[in-house]
This record gives sequence, structure tokens and C-alpha cells, in this order.
Amino acid sequence: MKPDFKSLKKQFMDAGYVILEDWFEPALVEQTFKDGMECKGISVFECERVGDLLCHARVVELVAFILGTPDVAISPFRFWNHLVTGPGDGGGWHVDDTWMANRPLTEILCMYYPQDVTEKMGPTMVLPGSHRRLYTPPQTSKLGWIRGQEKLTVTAGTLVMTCSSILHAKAAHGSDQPRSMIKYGYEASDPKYGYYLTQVAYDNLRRTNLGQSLTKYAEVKDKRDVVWNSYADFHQSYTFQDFKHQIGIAGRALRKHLEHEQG
Amino acid sequence: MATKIESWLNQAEMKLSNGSGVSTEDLQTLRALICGEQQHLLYIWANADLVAADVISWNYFGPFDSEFMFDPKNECPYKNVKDAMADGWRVISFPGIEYPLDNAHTQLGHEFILERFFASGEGLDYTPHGARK
Repeated sequence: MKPDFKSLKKQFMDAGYVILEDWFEPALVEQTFKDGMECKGISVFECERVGDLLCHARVVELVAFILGTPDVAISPFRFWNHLVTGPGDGGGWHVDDTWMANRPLTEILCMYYPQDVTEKMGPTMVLPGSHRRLYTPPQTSKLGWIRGQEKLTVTAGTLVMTCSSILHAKAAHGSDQPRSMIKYGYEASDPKYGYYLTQVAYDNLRRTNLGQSLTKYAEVKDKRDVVWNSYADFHQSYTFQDFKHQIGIAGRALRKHLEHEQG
Repeated sequence: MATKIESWLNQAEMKLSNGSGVSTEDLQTLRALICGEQQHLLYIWANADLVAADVISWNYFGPFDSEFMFDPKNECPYKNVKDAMADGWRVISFPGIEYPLDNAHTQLGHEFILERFFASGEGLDYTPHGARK
């Protein structure tokens, strides 16, 4: 049965996220688990099955429905495999892209879990509804327990789609079981916000017509330039480093501007 | 919550009432307790700019460790700032005025910062992130 996109969009708009369970074929879940355990950081996007995950037709269809445009692009927004082996501490509350809450919705942040995540495995925490506020990192880093906070304990192959401005965190990891969370995103396609992929990831994502459409504004660069916060290399001052929190559209517009200035 | 200083005061009152009095040694003990006091900070984000407003979020900082640096699982031991004040906490910073930007809120709740002095090793039993150590 086709998922009720209208209902999912309502959940997404109200809570700032939606949890998609059982959307992926068992073979894809099984292989992404192996990839997630072996390939850290951005290298995971060079794996064929992870490419299939990002180019999954039904997911892309839902993304287009939520964004309200048929022209969708894969976003390099925080491209990363967060592989933690545990046990270890959690990470503080934060938003991945500041100053987006008051802008039209143009991007979606995805968190994919290739294995079960139990309460003890450092689940992602979210604060439902928090995507509507404009936080700064100094504000959010002080927060501890928050009324209404949720721990996302999920089964293998679950994809959580979130607003890029949602307040989230990683809970403490109390077990010795490794936990992978593959983070990536989608955005309304726009040539002025082009982005970078390694050659292998670029080729991997462009194996299908859908993949070619999703990456039509992508450019190939070497690994260091592809990492999401590498534009912070342009300047070492604290005030510039502060821009590392703007890593979605605003951050990439800044980087493009700086490259133009330097070029 | 009875602190070491409160216990000292209770004992001193008993000594004075039974006629044995407070000794120089007792006063040295008190001085050591006062000198050893350490500042603890309690952050409470309330749902309104009122000391009686319910807690939305809290955190607890001081010269101590917690079970985890971040694993928010424990609710605030106080219902509101007023309850914390009744337990001996002093408000040292009141919420700033919020100017919503482009019709969006720019903060989560109303931030009160409270302080209280404890002897070394004392304080609230837990932080949001586990037992205080």
C-alpha cells in the first residue's frame, strides 16, 4: 500500500521530523549495514548500496512532495557516516543549520540507521516542534533535560527525515555495540547552491537516470573539499569559524561567494 | 536539604540550649566549612517569565562530575524557580527580553540562572545526565 504522503507531510511539518520504517528492501538494509560498519565519514557515499539508498525512488517522491517541487537534488548537507563504537558520552543539543527556521522549506535532513538502535546504543534525541525556532549554538549547548524530548530507538533500515533546523542530540552510548547513522539530505534543486562530491561518489550516484537528475549540479572535488565544513578552511578567525554552523544553503552560498572572491 | 553548615548550626543551637556552649574548635570547623564552599549553578528554562512558571528545561553545573557529560534523562528536582528558591537557591540572572526575529522565537523558554553554595562534595544528588560525582 502506498504511504499516505499527506499524513507524512503533516507529521513532518508539525513535529519537524517523520520516521520511515520498512521502506527499504531487506537486501539494501543488509548491505548498508555492512557498509555502515566498514566505511566511516564521507567514504560511505562511495558504496553502491548507499548510492541506491540516496536514489531510492519512493523516498525521493516523498521528498518532492514535502518540498513541493518535482525538481529535487541530493544535498551534501552534513554528508557523514556517524559510526560510534561505544561505550561513550553523548553530544549536546544542537541544530545542524542555524537561521533556517524562518525561511521557506528548501531542504530536508536525513538520518538513516542501518542497524537497530536501542536505548543503550546512543540513540538520536530530538525535540518535536523545535524546528520552528531560531537557536544559536551558545543557547542550545547549555540545555540539558527538555520537556517533550524524544529518543529515537529504531529498527534496522529506518530513515528519519527531519527539518534542518530541528534541535537534536546524541544520547550516551552505554553498550559496546557499534552504531552507525548515515546522514545526508535533499534540497529543492538550485544551480546557485552547487556542491561537491568525490569522483567515486559522483560516479556511484549517477548510475541511474534518477541519480543523474539528483546530482545534476554536483561537481567533483577531492576528499578534503567535499567534507561539509571544509569552507571553514578559508579563514581561521573565530567569527568565521562560527559560520560552520551554517552548513546548509546559507553556508554553501557563503562558500561559493568566497571561492569567487579568491578565484 | 541539610547542608554541613546547616548541620553545624543545628548542633550549635543544641549546645547553646544545653549550656555547653560553642567552642573555639567548633568555630574553626565552621570557618573551614565556609571557606570550602563552592558555587553551583542551576539553569532553569521556564515556560513564562515568572518564578512560578513550570520548568521546560534544566541543567546543573559546578565543580563536580556527572555520570555522563550529556545524557539528559532526569527531570528537574524543582517544579519551578520558586521551589528552587525555597530550597536555598538565589536567582543571579533573569530572563532577557525576547525580540522574535521574522516572527520566529529565538530562544527556548525563559532562562533563569540560580546559584547556591555547597561544601565540597555536597549538592543536588543528580544532574540531568545522571548521578553527581
